[in-house]
Amino acid sequence: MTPSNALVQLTDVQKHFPIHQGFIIRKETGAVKAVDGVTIAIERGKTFGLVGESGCGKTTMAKLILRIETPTAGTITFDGKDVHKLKGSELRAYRETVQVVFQDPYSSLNPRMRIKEIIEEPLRTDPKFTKEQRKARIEELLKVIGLRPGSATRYPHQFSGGQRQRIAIARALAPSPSFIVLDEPVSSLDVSIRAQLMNLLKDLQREFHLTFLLISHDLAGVRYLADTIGVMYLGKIVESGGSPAVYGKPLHPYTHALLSNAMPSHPNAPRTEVILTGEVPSPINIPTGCRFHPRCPKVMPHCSKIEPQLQEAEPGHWVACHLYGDTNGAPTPKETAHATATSTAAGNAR
Amino acid sequence: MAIAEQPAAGRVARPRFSAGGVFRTVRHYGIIPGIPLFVLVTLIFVGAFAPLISPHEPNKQSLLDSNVAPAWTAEGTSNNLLGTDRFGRDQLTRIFYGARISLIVSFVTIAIGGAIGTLVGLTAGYFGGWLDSLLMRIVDVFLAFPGLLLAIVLATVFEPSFTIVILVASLLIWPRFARLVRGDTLGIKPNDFVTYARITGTPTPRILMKHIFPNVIPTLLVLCTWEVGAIILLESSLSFLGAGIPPPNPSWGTMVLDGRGQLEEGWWISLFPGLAIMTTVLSLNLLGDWMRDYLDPKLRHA
Amino acid sequence: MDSKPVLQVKDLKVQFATRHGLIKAVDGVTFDLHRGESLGIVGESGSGKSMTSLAVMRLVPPPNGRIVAGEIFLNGENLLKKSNSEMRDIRGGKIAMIFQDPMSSLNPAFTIGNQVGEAVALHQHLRGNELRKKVINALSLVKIPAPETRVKSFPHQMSGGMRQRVVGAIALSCEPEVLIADEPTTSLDVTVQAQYLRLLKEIQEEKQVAIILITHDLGIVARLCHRVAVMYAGRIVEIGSTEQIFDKPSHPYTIALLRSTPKLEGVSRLDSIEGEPPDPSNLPDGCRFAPRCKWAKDKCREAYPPRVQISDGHWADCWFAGDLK
Repeated sequence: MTPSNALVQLTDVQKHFPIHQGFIIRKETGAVKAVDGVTIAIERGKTFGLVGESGCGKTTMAKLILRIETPTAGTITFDGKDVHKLKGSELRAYRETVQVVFQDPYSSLNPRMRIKEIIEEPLRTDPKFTKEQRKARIEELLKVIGLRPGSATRYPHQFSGGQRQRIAIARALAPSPSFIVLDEPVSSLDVSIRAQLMNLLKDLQREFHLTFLLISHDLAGVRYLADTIGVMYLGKIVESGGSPAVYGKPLHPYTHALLSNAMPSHPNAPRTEVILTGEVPSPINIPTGCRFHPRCPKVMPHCSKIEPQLQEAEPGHWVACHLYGDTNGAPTPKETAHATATSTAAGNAR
Repeated sequence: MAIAEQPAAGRVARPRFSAGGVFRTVRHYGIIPGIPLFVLVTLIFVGAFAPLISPHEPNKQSLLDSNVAPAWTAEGTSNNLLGTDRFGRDQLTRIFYGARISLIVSFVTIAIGGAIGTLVGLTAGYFGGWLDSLLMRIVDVFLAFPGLLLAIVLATVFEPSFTIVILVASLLIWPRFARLVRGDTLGIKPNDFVTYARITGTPTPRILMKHIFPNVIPTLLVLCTWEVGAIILLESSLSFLGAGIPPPNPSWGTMVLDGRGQLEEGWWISLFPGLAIMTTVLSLNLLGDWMRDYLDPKLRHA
Repeated sequence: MDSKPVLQVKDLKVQFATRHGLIKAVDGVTFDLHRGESLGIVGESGSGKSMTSLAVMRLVPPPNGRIVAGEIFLNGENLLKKSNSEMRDIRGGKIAMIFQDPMSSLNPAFTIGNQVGEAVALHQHLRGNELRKKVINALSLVKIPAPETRVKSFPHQMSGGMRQRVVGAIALSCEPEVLIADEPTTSLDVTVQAQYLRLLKEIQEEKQVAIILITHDLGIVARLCHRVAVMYAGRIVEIGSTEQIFDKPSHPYTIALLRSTPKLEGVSRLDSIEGEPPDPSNLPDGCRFAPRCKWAKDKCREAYPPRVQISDGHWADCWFAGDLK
């Protein structure tokens, strides 16, 4: 899991939010284990797609990388340096190198600021830029994202959702970052606008050699943008690998269920449908053993006792499941297990 | 790449608040903001230019002209449009100057109390935690303050003065500002533009002033409007009780007090300053209500 | 499917008077819905899909919104001629609705038994034990585990998926003939969404209720619907069976929409639709999609195209329908 050209490396990262109870004497009675031991490497110039349902910890991971939260344990390095130990000029440089685009372009742009002020925001404290240079940069960026230069003096409410998201992207590009966290960048937009934005992101990546961390629940969209996929469930990566491998041959039963539940692109598309029971458990009471075992269609007796570790089932394709490998005394690999199994055939799905 | 630049579908541009002129406002938004706005503009004009437009001196006594009835009554003279009080001072002039006092007291109080309250509210709402709890408990204590009693005590211990009125009024209004601003801050803080500012390492004072405060302004405008009404009422009450603006300054409250003993022979002495108080406070309340409705739906999206 | 439709909407027009002019939210919408059938209405925000469904319920928000023309027949009776009290009986009775956000459709202060019971009591005039039985039936219809104990739960004690099932139970409790579901799964997670859609499908097959599914997601339509109506800027631009629409999309907007949707199988480059939907208070003359259409000719900008039949039951509003590559 450590390719040599990793730009961002997370090693065994944990983030637990303690829960306090009591009126006067407050006791720590538990913890929300939002991120519970995540190791991933994000390669330079590539897009890492982090997929999972709400509450799986993917947004907390972004916050840890963006330094809004501090990890409870583990390290996050950027270009080999520990992100949470940066100080002074190194910290300032990091804040410019690492940028973010949020999901909701209504909440991410200050309604009382003009577009030029918004885009200027990350450059404001940068001594490298004079006032004129900043102005030139804003005009350049507006052109890059496809808005008229005249937009600079307007306010966010004068733009549509898609245009606002373009503005948010321009703001992220302003300090010439090398890494951008994209937190559900298109999911609040209309269908016909999404493709525009996804293509724009793709073009920008190529043009400016950007590395992306794409956080999303939309599997088809992630397939389009990401080179590497990490599937997260309840604070842990359960499967990761190159996107053709993960999508073409999902190993973990959860990934398999997610893919089979994703909406088909044609009514007659052949597929097996795995309907999971129940919903994601609370991250306060994480099930013992494999955290997916209460919902797993292929659960085995020892799944509730031993937590499977992430292991390389195939070159570059990692999975944390007892169906593969025998690290914990689990049965021998059953590579084709996902194809057989208890899933319901629902070929013509109506 | 496409130039995606049509106006946003169905989205309505937010009209910004500008001094667009009373008449244009009335034509555009109807009569409710129009009339109160007219009253207030008049009040400010009268207060500001009282020395220029007043027919007489506010404190000039003339016992010969005492208790002259308003001009339209049988005993009235055109010299004193709204009559005179028992010292022969011109009522109209004193109401003009009274407006001036009301305005000065209001503005100074809003400036002091509003600023303190806003600062406390921003701090409590943004930082949260124990600081928030502490500040809000202090606010609760001040909200439970018997303001009138305090003013009377202060006025008995010291001399009644402008300072005491402003002090008491500020003490009474700052917690209301603090509470409201805190609530708004709590609503604005989770927005991603605030998160973004934190990510880029923006210093906290700048986040408060540049990202949160401007989004609180609409609420503040509404609150200020309401509170100016409340302050005018408080100042009048204090003056009426003799704990407010010291005579011979022509506060509306003092004027009502002056006429209290002679409601039968000089009804106009209390009536006109009373009407002035009522019209002003009513206008401010109506305007505040209108502003709240007008600004609110837009605020939701911020 | 029997031949007489349960619901017929003919040339429906809904308009809003605003300070910025007249907004034609729905501008001549016509469709039929048969018993046991599910019709997907697909469109972007502002396309008029939700307003169409509100108009069917006669819930166009007053005072600015108004149904200015058209007819809506439920079993041959014109709903636009009904009195308000007759309409109240129909809403929640013969026509029921499921909204997007289960959190705001349920009242946090009442138990779910109360809320399902209220609907039943109102429309079927039941009380006591009978009412309770009916409520439990409705909850078990939507597969809420242990409905006998669940009736005492409050909405906040349930997960998002369960809450949306309760909303479904309320809608289905009075055995409606038409169920309108407005983005029913948008707020749900992928795996929960699949559960819910499966459930809707099963209930439909069992009860033969006619469903109008309003969504922006062609994938949901592909999974659940027999027929699809694609809406753009207040009009249905293409309508047909789901296979017809997916196999031979004939309106440029449908074609572009399908090409701009990413697929699980992966595509090298999405064919995006440029520009944005038109301002509803200032619709273009001629075809409303023409400004964004790569096939548009002068003719398209001058006059609204005729409705062209592509095959049996498959229609598209385009001058060049059937000849587009």
